[in-house]
Amino acid sequence: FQLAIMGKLSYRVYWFIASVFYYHFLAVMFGAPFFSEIGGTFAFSLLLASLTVLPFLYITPFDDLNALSFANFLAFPSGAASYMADLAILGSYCSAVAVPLDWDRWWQRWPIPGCAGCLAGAGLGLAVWAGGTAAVRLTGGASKKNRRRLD
Amino acid sequence: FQSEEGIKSDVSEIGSTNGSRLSAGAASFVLAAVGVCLCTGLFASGFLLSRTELRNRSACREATAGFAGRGDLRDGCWLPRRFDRVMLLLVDALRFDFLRPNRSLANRHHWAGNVLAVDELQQSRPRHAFVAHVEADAPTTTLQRLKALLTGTLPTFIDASANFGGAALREDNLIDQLLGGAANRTAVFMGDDTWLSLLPGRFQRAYPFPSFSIHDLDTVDRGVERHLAEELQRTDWQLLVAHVLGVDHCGHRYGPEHPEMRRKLREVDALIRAMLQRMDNRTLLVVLGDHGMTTGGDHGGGSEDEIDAGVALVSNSRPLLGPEDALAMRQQPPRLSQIDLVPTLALLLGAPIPFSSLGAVPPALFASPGDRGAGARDALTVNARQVMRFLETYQAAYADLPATRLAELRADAAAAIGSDVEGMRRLLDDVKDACRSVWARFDEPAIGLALTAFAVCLAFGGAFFAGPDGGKGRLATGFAVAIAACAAAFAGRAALPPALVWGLPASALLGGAASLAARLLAASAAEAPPPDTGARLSQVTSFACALTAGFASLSPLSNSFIISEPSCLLYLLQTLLLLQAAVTCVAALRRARADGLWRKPVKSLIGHPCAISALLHAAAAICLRLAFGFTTCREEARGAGWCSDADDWLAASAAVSSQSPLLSCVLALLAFLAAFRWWLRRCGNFNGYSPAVLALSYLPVPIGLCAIIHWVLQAAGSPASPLLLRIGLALATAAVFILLLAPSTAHLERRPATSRRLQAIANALARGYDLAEVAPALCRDLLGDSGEDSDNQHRGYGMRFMYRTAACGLLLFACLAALLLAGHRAVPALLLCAAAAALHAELRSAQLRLGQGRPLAKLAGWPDIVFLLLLGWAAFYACGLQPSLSAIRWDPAFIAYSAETSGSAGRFFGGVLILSGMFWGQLLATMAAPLLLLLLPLTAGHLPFVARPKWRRLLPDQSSGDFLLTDLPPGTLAGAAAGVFARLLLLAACLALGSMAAAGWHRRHLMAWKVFAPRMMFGVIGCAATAVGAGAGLLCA
Repeated sequence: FQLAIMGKLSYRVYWFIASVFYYHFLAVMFGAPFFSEIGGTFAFSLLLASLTVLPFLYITPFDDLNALSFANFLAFPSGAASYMADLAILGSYCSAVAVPLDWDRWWQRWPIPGCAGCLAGAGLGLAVWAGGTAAVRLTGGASKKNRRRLD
Repeated sequence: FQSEEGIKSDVSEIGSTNGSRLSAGAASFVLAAVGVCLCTGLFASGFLLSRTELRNRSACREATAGFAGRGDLRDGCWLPRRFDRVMLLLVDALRFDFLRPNRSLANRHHWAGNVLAVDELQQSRPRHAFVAHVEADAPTTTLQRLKALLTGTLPTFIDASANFGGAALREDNLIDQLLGGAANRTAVFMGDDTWLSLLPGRFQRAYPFPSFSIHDLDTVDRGVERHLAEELQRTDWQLLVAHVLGVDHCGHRYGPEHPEMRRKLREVDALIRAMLQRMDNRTLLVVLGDHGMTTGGDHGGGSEDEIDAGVALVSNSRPLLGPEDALAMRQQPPRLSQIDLVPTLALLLGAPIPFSSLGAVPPALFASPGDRGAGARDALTVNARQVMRFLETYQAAYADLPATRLAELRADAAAAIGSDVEGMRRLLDDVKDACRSVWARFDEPAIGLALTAFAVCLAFGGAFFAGPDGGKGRLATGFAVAIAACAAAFAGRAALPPALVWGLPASALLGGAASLAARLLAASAAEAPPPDTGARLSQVTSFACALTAGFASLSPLSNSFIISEPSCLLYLLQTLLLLQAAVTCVAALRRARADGLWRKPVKSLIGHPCAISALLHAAAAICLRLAFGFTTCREEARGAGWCSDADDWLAASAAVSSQSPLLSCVLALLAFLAAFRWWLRRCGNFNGYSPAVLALSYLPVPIGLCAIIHWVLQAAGSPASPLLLRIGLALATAAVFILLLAPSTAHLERRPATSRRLQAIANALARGYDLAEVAPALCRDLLGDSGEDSDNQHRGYGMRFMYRTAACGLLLFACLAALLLAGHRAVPALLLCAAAAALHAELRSAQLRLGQGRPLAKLAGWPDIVFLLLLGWAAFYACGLQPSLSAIRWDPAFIAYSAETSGSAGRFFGGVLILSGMFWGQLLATMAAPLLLLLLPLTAGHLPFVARPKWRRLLPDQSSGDFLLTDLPPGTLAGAAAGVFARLLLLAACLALGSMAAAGWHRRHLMAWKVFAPRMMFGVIGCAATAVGAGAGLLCA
């Protein structure tokens, strides 16, 4: 029994570690320096993975599915988590605009805008989700589309 | 997956729709293209100030001045000499009001009331100091100002000098005249090192300091103070130049309203006092600002604060001014042009006026009491004769001035010179105005009009090409109205108020755009596309592409984005790539769901379509990232510490061993040639003896060897002879012509007759082969022949790859020619960018195959076009180029001509070679664009090749090659290619428009001449390169 739990847990851990490294790879591909900021880049990818992949791994039921069929995993309706993930990725993507500007501010150093954008995006995503849900609850009736999305 | 018949009909439909659109809109497209060219010309004439340098020099003994025989420089050449020595203190960005006491303002402003030395002297000895405004011409940047101060001409952005060369000043100038070529005259310099690059070898003692770091307020000034103290002790020099930068840097860093500005100006005051103290009786002190600064502390443009610099001329014993003049000038400081200082200083020091000077001497400085104005008249006469001589010489050489204006000036000169002081002053002013109107003024209405008209042409050209099919008539009317508005504004731009000149066409454009948008909205509302997820995905893709292209066109508006443009481009390209990978993944998953593979467990990731597209994406992304490791830093970025050459891998590997970058480039090139050869052989192209086959098999290696040997010789330090490069280029050109004239590499072979084949089988059996081995071949042979005339049977080689072999072969030779021109630095850029393009094409092809509906309808769509165009720019940056004038590589010019003796044809070819050596990326990307049409056949489904059997049945694994294109009606493929080129051109023109708009908008920006204007030029040339590539590609098609 314990082994089975460990197996399920470790699948999630593997997925998380893989996603951290994949985000790190993407960050470097998008222009983060190879070596000089490796710690910062890794911290950024850790943060991004925690905000985007971790919630999915937490809420996805692995029991009835093969752990590798991420087709299901992607299709699983997940409300808050998907809002958060979408906007966190969007936020960290857009925050790169601040890096090349010649304003000479401390917060323009590489991992800072990315992390800030990621956090801001995640927060915004949660806020949007909460707002949407509250609106649906308050108005009582929700359209079919909304219900499916916010489920 | 749709059948081959479907593919055929799709391709022909694309070709015919593009073709019909082209034929229907051909006139309007050509019209738009012509309009774009005209607008670019108009913009250039309004923005780029151009003037041609003359190499003539004034001489000391010269009859033209009318004052020959005064002996030599010792006594004064054209006028008697009044000072022996001159100290020139150039204070960068010394605005006129910095030089005034301004005691009332000193409490409120940090810049006011600090430089008091001059004013004190003026109070105590008013006749010994001459203080004036000097108006600088835009662009108010230090280099241009220095040139103006030395030569006395109106400066321009590009001085079309007589030949290619460095920054050194070639025109006649003040320093050369003051030194007079005499060996015993000594010049000393300290300060901004720009002087030494302008005037190398003129100064016996020079103490240069780097000028670039604007964050460093003190290094230059401290150095100047130290060396000035030493030099003031000496008496052996006749000319001392000190150029301090602290005030300017303080302005850039903190602005004028900062305590640091007070400190820096007080330091200037201390410098002036030190010089005054050590000044002897035959010395003239000149304190001078090269330009002013805005309230924000910047400069570069033409606003009042920027052009209003100050000057003070101070003498010790001999008075400079008459008593009345001195009084009047204390009340009301005169206004001079900056270039007026050139003849003034030259004549005061007894030197001839530099040949190209347009300045006018202020008469007050030459009047002596009791001569009844004779001194002033003599000075003005000399000056006016010199200016008219320059004007006549220039006009004879280049004829820039309108004839009527010149005739007026000649008449005035004949009337005034020698007698009428006021007439001569007016004449000199008129000449200056005439030249300025030709050379040194932004024509703002023209700039605005050109940009607006450019946008009009682009919008309507694009709408005609890509817009909805209905309503072309209305569009044409709108286009005609907008163009008419532009033309009317152009014709009436002298009479209309400036805002109206471009406001009129702009409103027409806005109206047109609004009506177009309304039409599109109405059309989309009427159509109400089905809520298909595939359609939504493609909408997302095209939206992202539009955003990317929009950002790429708008990024030149910020100097930060221009300076770090390589990183921005990388970001955009990676965005597109990641997007394609994601879309491919989603398409694969959707396909799997449709085919019922959805719920089945996945045993292994290997062979999963998502994993394959992720791998493709990763490979392409790594190629791009590696390519961007070869970019070099701009000097601005390097100076500010944003970028270091340690990021440049070629430079880094050069640090390991001086030969290793070259060696790896050579190896990579050889590997590339070998791989290409292997691919051709594998496609069955090396059969037979057709010219194309011979060219493809025997020419690439010699051309590559030419390039390699040249690079090695260059690295070994032997004098570069262009012979090898010429041979290589000639071979490449020959190969291109061969491929164009006889592109087919297909080889037909008659099959042996049946009886002979049977004989062969019998022989094989007789030699002991087992029947079981021979039987299948026998059966195949007989079955193949059944019912047909065996004598007409042929075996074809290389048919499946006919089109793409020809296209790839042409591209290969174009690539080799580009490498010959661009040098070994281009090897990694070329190979990596080509690999990225191929992988992206593979990804797109997989995605289109997986998608539902008609995949070919999206062939060579906007995503591919945007990616390819940006990739062309990526190649530009990846071979170490930057859009700045200092980064131009002049080497390829020497292929065309070896000595300076060659004429204008040699110069033209040299220019073409230089440009194609820099913009080969854009050229090649454009020429490669039609390959996108062969995308599906070309990539031949490599995905199923890797995929597991379970996934493979999602994909068609057989490809019929180029056969399906052979049955198309003639001209279809060319029409489709023309459509691709049209899109590319449209997009390239958008990018060019963005950079032009940025340059026009920021024409007064500090970085206007350093960053924006060069970026604009490179953007326009890049667009032109795309156009040339499109033309060449169309010819080939």
